[in-house]
Amino acid sequence: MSGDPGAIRTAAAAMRASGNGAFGAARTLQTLDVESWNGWAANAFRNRKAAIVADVGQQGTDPIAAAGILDGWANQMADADAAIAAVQDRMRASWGALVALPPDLSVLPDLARAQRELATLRFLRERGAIYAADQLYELVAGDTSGLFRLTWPPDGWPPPASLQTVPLTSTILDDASFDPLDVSQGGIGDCYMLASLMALMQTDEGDQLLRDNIKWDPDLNGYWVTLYDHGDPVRYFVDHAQAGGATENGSAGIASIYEAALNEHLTFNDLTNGGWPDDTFPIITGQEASEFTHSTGSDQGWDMDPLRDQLADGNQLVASTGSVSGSGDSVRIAINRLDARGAHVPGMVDLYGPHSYTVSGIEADGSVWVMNPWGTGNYADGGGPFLVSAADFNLYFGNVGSSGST
Amino acid sequence: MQATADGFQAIAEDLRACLLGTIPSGVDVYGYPVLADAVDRLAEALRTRHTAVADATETVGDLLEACRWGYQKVDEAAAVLMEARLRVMDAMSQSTTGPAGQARPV
Repeated sequence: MSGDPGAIRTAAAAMRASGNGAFGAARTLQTLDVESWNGWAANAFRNRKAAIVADVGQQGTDPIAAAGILDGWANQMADADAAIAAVQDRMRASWGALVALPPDLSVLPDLARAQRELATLRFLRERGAIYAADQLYELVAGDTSGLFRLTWPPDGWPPPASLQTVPLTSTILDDASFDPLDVSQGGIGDCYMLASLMALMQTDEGDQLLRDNIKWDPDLNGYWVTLYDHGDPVRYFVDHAQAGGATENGSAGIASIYEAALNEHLTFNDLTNGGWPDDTFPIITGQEASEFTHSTGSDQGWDMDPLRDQLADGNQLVASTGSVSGSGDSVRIAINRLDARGAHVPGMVDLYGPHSYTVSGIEADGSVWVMNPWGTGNYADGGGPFLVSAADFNLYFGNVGSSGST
Repeated sequence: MQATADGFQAIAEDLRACLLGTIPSGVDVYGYPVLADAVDRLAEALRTRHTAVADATETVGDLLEACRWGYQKVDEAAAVLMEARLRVMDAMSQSTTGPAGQARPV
């Protein structure tokens, strides 16, 4: 992959030097005055001087901000390249075991997983570049000096087309399981949307709603997807899914189609920038949704009765964590799962935040069954429903969105 | 005023000296065309604005210098007028009567 973090840091250093030079000039400018000069001309001079000081100061601020953005991107690129190299090493080792005599077929799942990780890492790397470019454009477009201004947004921005896509086939609707356990989030930051889709997939009514809002167009070789804007239907045509985005059983599926349609509805940067389930349910269903909030970590705890009422009314819930740890984005918690006989089996998982989880049930003691949209086999919790204790739910989950009637 | 005008000129020179020079560019450096293009456009925007700011700073210095010269010319003109007026008053003080025996107004 192309990219040179060292050269990017060189560019950042040049911008920082230019900005510091301008800051020095601004400081000197502020010391200049003609104290004994009075009258109209003197006032005009002082006004002009104030404007110049501001402009020169801005000329210090912006290059230094740009340098920070570029340094950040250089670090991100270096980290991504190291992670990609590690996955490629793993793939080479797995491939070696596969072609050895006798072949070690047990490496096949890891090989497949590594391929998906590689696609995701490449996707995230490109997404980071787009974010950096977005920030640079915004920096100049936000200039208030009026001396120079870029047209904002620039033509063709944002550039989702530069992200690789995969074609959507005609058989997705026929083959779809509408099983939430088949959904896996990719590299796009849309857990809120996928957790909402998974929530709807828990009932036949939800499956039907999702199915009814997708139509294959054989003439155009793509899908018409109906979403809703303040209750009004809006149709989007999608024939490609984002590479490295959501999948179902490893391939493009219903979630991929909705992700592509949401990408058009929200634009890519909004789609991938996180969101709230109670904002998302109405876009998918056209119905009003509800939001329940709670101050995480407080002693008061969730009032579970309204949430139970939502489930009893046939509504679907998505629960979202806030920041779960002061030093990272995950916390290890004790949970329970169900074994084949329906007995609770204790375990440990990494709970991430901020992140959205599909709610699949609430126990009498206030513990909550949730599913991670990262899907089966994910490194945080392995996928599938797990039971979060009432104490941990109080501690880490601060927001619950309800689908409203579907 | 002279010192201030010189100060503005000096700052304009300082600003020109810290104009963003050539920086690494291209897809090989930034990894993706979208970012390489954004950096190019940003650098161009910063240079354009930087030059405009330096020009404006220099212009303030020029205007200040022009004002200084204006004040100086007025001062010089005022001095000439004052000197002429003093000469007239001095000459008039040498005589007690005006033309044709008319008494000098006092």
